[in-house]
Amino acid sequence: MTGALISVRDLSIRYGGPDAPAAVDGVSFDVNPGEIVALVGESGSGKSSVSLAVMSLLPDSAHVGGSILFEGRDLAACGRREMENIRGNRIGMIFQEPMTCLNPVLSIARQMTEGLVRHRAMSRSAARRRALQALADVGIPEPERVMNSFPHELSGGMRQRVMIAAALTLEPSLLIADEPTTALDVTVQAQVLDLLVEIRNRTGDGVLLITHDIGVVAEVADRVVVMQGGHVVEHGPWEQVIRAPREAYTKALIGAHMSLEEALTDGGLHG
Amino acid sequence: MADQTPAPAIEVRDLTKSFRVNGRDVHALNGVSLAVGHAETLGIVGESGSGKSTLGRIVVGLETMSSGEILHEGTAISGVGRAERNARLAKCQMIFQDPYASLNPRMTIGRQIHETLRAHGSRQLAHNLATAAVLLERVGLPQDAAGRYPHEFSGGQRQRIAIARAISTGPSVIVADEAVSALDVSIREQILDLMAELKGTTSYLFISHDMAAVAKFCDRIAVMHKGRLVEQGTTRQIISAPQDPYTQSLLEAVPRIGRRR
Amino acid sequence: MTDTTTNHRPRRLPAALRQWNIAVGALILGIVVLAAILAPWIAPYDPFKMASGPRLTGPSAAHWFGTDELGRDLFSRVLLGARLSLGIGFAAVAVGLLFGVTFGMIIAFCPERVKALLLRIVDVVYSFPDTLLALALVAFMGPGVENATIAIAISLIPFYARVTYGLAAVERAKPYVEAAQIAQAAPARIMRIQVLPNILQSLIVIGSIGFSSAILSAAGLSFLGLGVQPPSPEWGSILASGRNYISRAPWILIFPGLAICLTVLSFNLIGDGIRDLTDPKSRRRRS
Repeated sequence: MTGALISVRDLSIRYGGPDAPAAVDGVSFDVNPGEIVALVGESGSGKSSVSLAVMSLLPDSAHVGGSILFEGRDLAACGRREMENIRGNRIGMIFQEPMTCLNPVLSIARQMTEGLVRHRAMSRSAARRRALQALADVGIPEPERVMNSFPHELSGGMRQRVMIAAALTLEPSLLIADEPTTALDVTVQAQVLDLLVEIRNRTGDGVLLITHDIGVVAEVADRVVVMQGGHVVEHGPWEQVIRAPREAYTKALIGAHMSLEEALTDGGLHG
Repeated sequence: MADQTPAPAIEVRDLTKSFRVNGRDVHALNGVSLAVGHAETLGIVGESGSGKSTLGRIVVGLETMSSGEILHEGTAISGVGRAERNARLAKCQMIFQDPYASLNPRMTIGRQIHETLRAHGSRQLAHNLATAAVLLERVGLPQDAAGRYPHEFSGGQRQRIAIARAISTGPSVIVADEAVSALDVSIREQILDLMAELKGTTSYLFISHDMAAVAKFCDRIAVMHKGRLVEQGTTRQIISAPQDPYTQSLLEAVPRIGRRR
Repeated sequence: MTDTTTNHRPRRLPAALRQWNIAVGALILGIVVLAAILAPWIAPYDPFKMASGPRLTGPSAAHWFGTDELGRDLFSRVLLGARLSLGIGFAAVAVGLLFGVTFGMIIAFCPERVKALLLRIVDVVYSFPDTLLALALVAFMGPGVENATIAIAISLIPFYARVTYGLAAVERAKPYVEAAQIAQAAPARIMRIQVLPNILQSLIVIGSIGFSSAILSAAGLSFLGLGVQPPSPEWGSILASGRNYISRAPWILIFPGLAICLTVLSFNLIGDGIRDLTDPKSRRRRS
């Protein structure tokens, strides 16, 4: 498909050596602009390795086969500087635990404007205006106050919003969200998911959502890639994968996600 | 008590736990009262900071309460001597969230169960190891599991071991604190089924943020928010007809297959 | 996602010896210990016999380390001195570890208020340099090998207690220890059966660090005439007797000094090596 933001073809990843067993094997998928693609699987499925490969963050010991094209450019052929440029400017990253990405001793303002001043040669005041706008865009009620606070002064949900806002200031074309809601309470998770959908609708960015939670996938993904043991077991539009799964593993994953109503009747422990 | 109905297995009355932070009292628990009947499973749901874990830790004696009362079989444990208090607390067991940290990495599985049984008065190693083998088989582990170390097992298997250890002394109350939250969904269901299968006459305090797991496993549900109990009732009442706005928002936020954002 | 099953098996000895600092440290220490054990048989002269040779002669084929101011063979004295120096070190570390680890463990399991008080006391004592503490204790108890050993042991207790407390407090908060507490296991048994095996490797490291400090303290006390008394040879006391001849016969100071340095170095190397092996952050090989 042309025009894909990111195009992964026959990706294989081996840790330790070319002869080591493949952690990921024969994985192919695209993320198009304005599309939320979910990579879903349990621990050991290889989904995290794939996301690291897309961000070029794999350790040196990993042997990567196949290709990853970002806006038509082969990431493997990119130099270090070029890759850093892509990662800083074109791809925004959101991780499970915002605290690992936010520097605890720097104010939010400092962290959000640093990249703009350095990569975009913006003036401090312009960068600050952009950061404030981004904080407002992700639904933070008092952006000024949050700008002047430090990461530990914010709640988990607020930190996740700040991280999303920070990713948005650079106006990326692709957002990679690796388990963005796993560390959050359900009510906050719902807000963050709504936010991701809203950002997609507003900016037309592509979103690669990596998660273990098929329930989250079912609510927001346009396309679903189901992984198990390093392989893609099923891949298709959400209507097909979620509503009419073909593979036994996908069915099992969906079956294991109990709806509350099912849980009520399924429990059998109460009358 | 001359009451017709037997006293609940465990009951807490007006439980309060406060910490002093920067000279200000912060209430982790604020006047919580609830009871778990014999062989009943009570689910405690709430988000982080709701106080649900603190409640569980106080019930098993890991933390002290600031004020209130805990009753075992109708007897307040603050009113009895130290020896009897310990004996009553020994009837409580706990299953933890993290299947990696809840087992001693340098002790064989059999020895860990032996240590639990030993604390319970059964001092013979050979006898306890035989008991351990039977327990491990009941939770679906291979026969040689007793002689192996925790690192040889997967997360789901370790949680099975933790369950075997918790039921080894025949406790009257088990507090399960997010016992399935760290597990993959497919394994989560297996562990829930196992806990249901081995439930017997034990009462459970099933603490979780996972509404679906609570709905599946529990007879009744208590909803906590910011240290207070906002609502409690049968599982069907809480899931199908929640009264409190907080419960409603909590249920609304649970991801659903078939709904789109 | 990688498999998160962690490997906690204790490492085998050959793997430990592949760590260069452990290998070098163990080699030096092995030689010193062997010399101490075999001293009576391998010493070429009677270490107490005066005028085994001319006084204050430099190292030669007959007297490898030279002779001291009374004509005693220095090589024989340094060999025999290893017995006392290592002996005092071993005894002091053993006693210090026993009490320090016990105290540290008990503090970790104390109720919050008691714990704060005990920690404060330990911190106050710990703030004195251990040699100074040992010196004050010997001054109080009177000089002699036994008193010096006891003083050095006591001076090590705050260090061992503080470090053990830190290690035990981390373990205590882990669910496996909480599970044992919930089962109402006796605190002493939880400390011994559950916690101790999990902090043992770290205790070996701090044990070896204390060892080098004990040997330095022993030498220091003997040098000041408060530990081993003449004519018994101990590295510190040999140094003390030689200090008047530092310009005429520097070998009297060089060789025992070298012995102290090498022994201390060997313990530090071994301690660092074990830490490298057990600290996941500095671990090079993945198991």
